[in-house]
Amino acid sequence: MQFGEAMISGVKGIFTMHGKDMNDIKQNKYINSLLENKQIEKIIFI
Amino acid sequence: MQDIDEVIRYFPNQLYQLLKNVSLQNQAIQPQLQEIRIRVNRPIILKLRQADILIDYKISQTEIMQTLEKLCENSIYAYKNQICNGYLTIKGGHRIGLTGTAVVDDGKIINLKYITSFNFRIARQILGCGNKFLEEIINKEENTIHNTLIVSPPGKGKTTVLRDVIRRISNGIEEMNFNGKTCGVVDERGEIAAIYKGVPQNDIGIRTDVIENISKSKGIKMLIRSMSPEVIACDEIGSKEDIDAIR
Repeated sequence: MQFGEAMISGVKGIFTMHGKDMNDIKQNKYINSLLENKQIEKIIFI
Repeated sequence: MQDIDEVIRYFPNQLYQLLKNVSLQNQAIQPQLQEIRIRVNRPIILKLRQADILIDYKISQTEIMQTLEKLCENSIYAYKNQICNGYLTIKGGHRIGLTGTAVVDDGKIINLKYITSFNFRIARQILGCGNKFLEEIINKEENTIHNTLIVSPPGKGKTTVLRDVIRRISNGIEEMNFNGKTCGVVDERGEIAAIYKGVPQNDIGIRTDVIENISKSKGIKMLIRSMSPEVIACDEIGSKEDIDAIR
């Protein structure tokens, strides 16, 4: 089963990544694609 | 960490006594200690939150090996896989990073010999440190969570916050009328649950299943197939494989 199928079924995700601001996040093209596809709903900066 | 003995008891006696005395003389060490850096023939460094303390004790190669044997409960062979991954987890959830001469076969590390450095990373679980983020993360309307990314520079507490948030989501949050969710944690480097001999050393909640020492992409698939999580959590995503598994 791909996680995409699971997400459709309602599985949610909480993840971390290194970075200090939106620029750092956007520089990671893979993470950025999650943002563009609205698969990440909230970003919390610590 | 309840007592610095949890960590320094692995050192040879002379060094153990020295560090014990230093910690008794300086009361800031125990609450603030983040790392103990051990490098062969060089001074020992205690890394505290705000400063480093140099200990004028040059550890020998023999003492390094004695420390390793104690960490491995006198059976280095039994810990070979962990050593090849570059770290060991000890009781209390503390992680010991190690470096040395890698023995490589067919592109894979099959052994690490002539250990030259240890990094004792002190595990600290801070219950409640995730509370201030719950309003953002919890989707009250649908009694679930928002897909969330926690971002910070290294060493600023992402994993500590993630662990605490998982605990709250798993247990349920009465004050938010939020029912506990079945959580699946892919703990690739053993830092979230800090499992020692099969027992999580950190409180990760009553409905949380953990798979560790596996890549995030494989771990996510295994958890979904076998444990039916409502929430998946993992630390430090960023590679193509990670994102392919998530999306």
